[in-house]
Formats: sequence, C-alpha cells, structure tokens
Amino acid sequence: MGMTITEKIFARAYGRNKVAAGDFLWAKVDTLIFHELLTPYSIGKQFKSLGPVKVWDPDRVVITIDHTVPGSTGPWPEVHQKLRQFVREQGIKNFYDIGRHGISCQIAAENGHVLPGTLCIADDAVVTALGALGVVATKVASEVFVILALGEHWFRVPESIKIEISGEFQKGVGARDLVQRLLADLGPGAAPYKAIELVGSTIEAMSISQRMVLCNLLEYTGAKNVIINPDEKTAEYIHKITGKAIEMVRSDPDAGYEKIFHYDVSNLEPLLAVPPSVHSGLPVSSIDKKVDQAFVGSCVGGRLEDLRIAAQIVKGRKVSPHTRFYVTPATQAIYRQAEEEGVLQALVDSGAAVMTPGCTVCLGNVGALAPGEVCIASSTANYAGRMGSDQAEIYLASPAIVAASAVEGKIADPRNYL
Amino acid sequence: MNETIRGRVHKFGDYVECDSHIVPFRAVPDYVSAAEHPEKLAQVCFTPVDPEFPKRVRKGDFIVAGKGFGSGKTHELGMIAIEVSGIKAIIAESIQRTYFRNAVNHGIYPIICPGISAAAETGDLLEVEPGTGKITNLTRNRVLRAIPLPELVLEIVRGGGILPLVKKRLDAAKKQENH
Repeated sequence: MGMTITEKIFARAYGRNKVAAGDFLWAKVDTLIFHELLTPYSIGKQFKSLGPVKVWDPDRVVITIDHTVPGSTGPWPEVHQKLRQFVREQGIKNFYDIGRHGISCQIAAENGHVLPGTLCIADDAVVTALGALGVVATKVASEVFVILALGEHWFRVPESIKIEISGEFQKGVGARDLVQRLLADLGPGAAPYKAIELVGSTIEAMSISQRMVLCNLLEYTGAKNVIINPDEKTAEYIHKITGKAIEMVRSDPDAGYEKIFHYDVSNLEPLLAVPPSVHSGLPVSSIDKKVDQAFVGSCVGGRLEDLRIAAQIVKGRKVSPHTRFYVTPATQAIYRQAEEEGVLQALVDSGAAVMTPGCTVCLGNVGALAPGEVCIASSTANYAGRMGSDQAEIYLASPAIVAASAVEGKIADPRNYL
Repeated sequence: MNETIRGRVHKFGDYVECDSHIVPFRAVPDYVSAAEHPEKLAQVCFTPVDPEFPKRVRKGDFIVAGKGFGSGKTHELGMIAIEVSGIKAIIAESIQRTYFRNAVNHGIYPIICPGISAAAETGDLLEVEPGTGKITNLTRNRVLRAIPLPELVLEIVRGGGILPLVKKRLDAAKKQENH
C-alpha cells in the first residue's frame, strides 16, 4: 500500500523510507514557529532551566509578537523585552518585531519559511492553516523548548481521513461558509488525532488563501493536521516568494484512508457559527440580530482577499452608526498591499477602524465587548468570554457577511451587495 | 517495565474544554502566571464545572472523562493546572491530540479506554497498567481494556515529563563531547 502525503512527510522527518499510521517516533523539525504568549513558560522557565544551551538551528526558527499587539500592558512589555533578549543571545534572524510584524503563521508563510513536503511545528493550533501549502503543520504548545534544544520532537503518525469537495460556489459563498458547514456536520469528535486530507475540484479551484481558511478551522474536529496536496497554485505561491521550484510530495494513488467524506458546495449558502460553538452553521438569512461590533481580521479572516471583499461591500456606503467596524490586516505586507490598492481607503471612508497587524479583536485585546453586546467576526473562536464579557455574544462568519452586517448594523446577507 | 498505578477518580463528561471547563479564559492572566505562580492555576482548576475539585483532589488521583477530553482551544494552561493539582492519569473515551501530548509532557498518563465513562464514578478507586491497558475498578469490581501506551510515551511519563527527558539527553550529549 502506498503512503499518504502526511505519512511521507513523517517518514522523511524520521529518516526512513516508510512509516505507518499509529507509529510513535522522534522526527526532525524543519520549521519552528512561535509567538510571545507562551514564552514566559516555554523559554523563561523550561528552556532556561536547561542551562546555557544553543538553539539547534537558529535559521529554522520564526518568532513573532502578535497576540499582545498593540495592547501591550500589564506583564507584556517585560515579556517582549525578555523575548528580544533571547533572540539576540541566540542569533535568531527571523524575529518579526514591531515594524515588520504580523500573525505568526501568516508571517512564516509569506516570508518563505514554509516549504511543501516539510514538517512545520508551532505553539498555536491555527498553524494547521499551513497545511494548505502541502506541509505537515501541527501544534505542540510550550514544548517548543524541546525542539529549540534538540531540533526534533516525538510524534504519533496519524491515520488519514479524506474529505472530497466538489461543485462550484454560488456568488457570495466561499471557503468560510464551507468550513462552517463541515464543522457543523462533523462536530468536535470527527477526526480525533487524524490527518484530514482535502481533495476535489473545489479545492483545486481555490486560492491558497481560501485553502488556508479550511486548513485552519478544521483543526476543531480534533485533527492533528489538515493538508492539501501541492499543485500548480502551491508552486506559484512558493515561487513568487522564494524564486524556487518545489518538490511535489503528494499522496500515492493507493494510499490508505480510514474514512472518506464527500461534499458538494453547489447549494451552499452564507453561513454563521452561532455562539458559543464553532460547530454550528446557520444560514445568514435565518438570524435577525443587531450587531454592536463587526471584525474583519485574524489568522483565518484577515488576508488580502478578505480585506478586498470587505472593501468591495462597504465602498461608497457607510457603516451603521451603532456598529463599530474593526479591520486588522494579518501582516504588515498585507496592510501595505491593501493600502496601495485603495482597500484601506474604502474601509476608512466607510467608517471602519483599521488597525496595525496582530490578533487584536479575536481575543478581545482590542475592541473588547461589554455585557449584552453582539459581535460578528471573521476570526476563530466564539466561546463565552472570548472577546471580553462572558455575557456578550460572538457570531463567526465570512468577511463578506461581516462587512454587509457592519453596513446594515445587523446580521446581513452579503449577496445583496455583490 | 510494566508499572501499575492506583488512584481515586474525579469524573467529567464529554468534550471537556480548557477555556470553558478547566481554566476559565480570564481567571488567570496568562502564561506569566503559569511560569511564576502555578499554584494559582490549581486554585481554579475545573471550578467552572466542579467547584469542589480543588479542595477534593489529592496527589496521585485520576481524571475519568468522556469523549474528546481537551477539545476547543487547546490551551496548555489546562494541563498545567491539572498537573499542579497532582493528577497522575487521565482516562477518557477519547483525548484530543494536543491534550494527549500535553499530558505526556507533563508526566501524566493519557489513557484511552472505550467504556470507561460508564464504568467509573467520582470517588472510585482504580488500578491501571498503562503499558498493557488493563484497568480495574476496585470499587465496582470491573475490568476494562484501554489502548496500551507505547514505550516511547511511557519513558517520558515515568521520568516526570518531557523536561527531565530533554535534560537527560543534553547531559548525555555533553558527556559524549567531553570524551
């Protein structure tokens, strides 16, 4: 039997020709990504306790400050200071400090630190988004210190589940609506410890950005990693950044899958995740709710395509007077490009508050919610208390739905604006 | 080596999440607290769903849970709170993979045992062989079969977690260099 792309990547990282799902092994890591949040524990306590140790390969480490930007109060200025000291001591070049900042996994992808066929580890679950580039990308929490010290870590090779997507999206419907449908149908226990492999004509037609939306949020099914076999779009994305051609590591035609799901998107409509769970997918037309705040941003909904569609919807219109509309580009490069295209101008002119890159509203570090308030956001989480008061409500949706809702001051159908 | 461990059960349901059930999202500031004051995490551990847990738990106790232990946002703070509370094993119908890792790395046995939810209640005394998967509920006189843990995982947990193991490997590497 052949191997899946996930198995092949683990085999390579383990230094063998073959591995099987269920194997536990120590694997060499190609790229390590982390942000500031866990560093008091991962670096300040655990790595420091190892004594004077040199990072195994400083050029393979990518570090960002993204969760506490711009809201750096409380203990965070000192955390940032200690992180900068660590970066200096270890000679880590790929530290994206303020000025070239952005959300960790997006920064890593944009700057060519993520190459197809490799093992990419981060301290944040949203790293699974990078599976869109044909990498095994998975989270390890504070254990980043293990990789910093040894250059490798222990892993279990996951069984693979295939999800085949076919059909064409209707106008105003896209990757975010699809992933809401999948999360609602599959639930949190659908893919425990599995590799989800996404295939099909719909996937092939998607941009890298849209593929990242799927790979990011499908982690909520309990999956270890979510992955898409590289194709011409992947090659083009990588070539644009690195000037290099890529090695196409792909699943063998006779690879084994534990389960195969089929989805058709032809009849998919714009969908919302209803608080407090991401595992819900209600049609936007079924909910009549005033919104106090709208947010386009985050690792899953703050890329150029997301800002463009938001700008397209609000252009020439005004945001509702009782709705605060925050927009956060995921990285400085996206911010700069959006500015050049007039996207930020259209947003600001409509009454949006455009912010410097970072997680910002996703976790209530900016634009926190008061009791009873309702926010609609293109971000990752909507559990009680996520954005401030646990008496506030967070609806999750595509940037198109968010922008339309900002204009109307209530949950709105983007198809009326496209 | 085939160790046997015994402990008292604290029972939870399905899809236990860090931020909603184990360590409330804003109850402790963040990882700064985890690094400097881990006992603060023990004080709030599981209080959203079991306010008596911090008072009731003893070193060496077990958690028994349903499906998907560690779902949602898989923040490590939840596992740090569980470790500092003294828990030695988590036995569940299924364990979210990041929480499986977190348990191992914090010196806690993550044991997947279909049927455990129906076979144990808070206060029961269990005897567990992580290497073979044999679980005996001594209070109710029942035996179950869990998925045995591989030696790679057992070695880490036996040593007290991933930090001691990394130290051991670095020391061994240093000794080799000095030869």
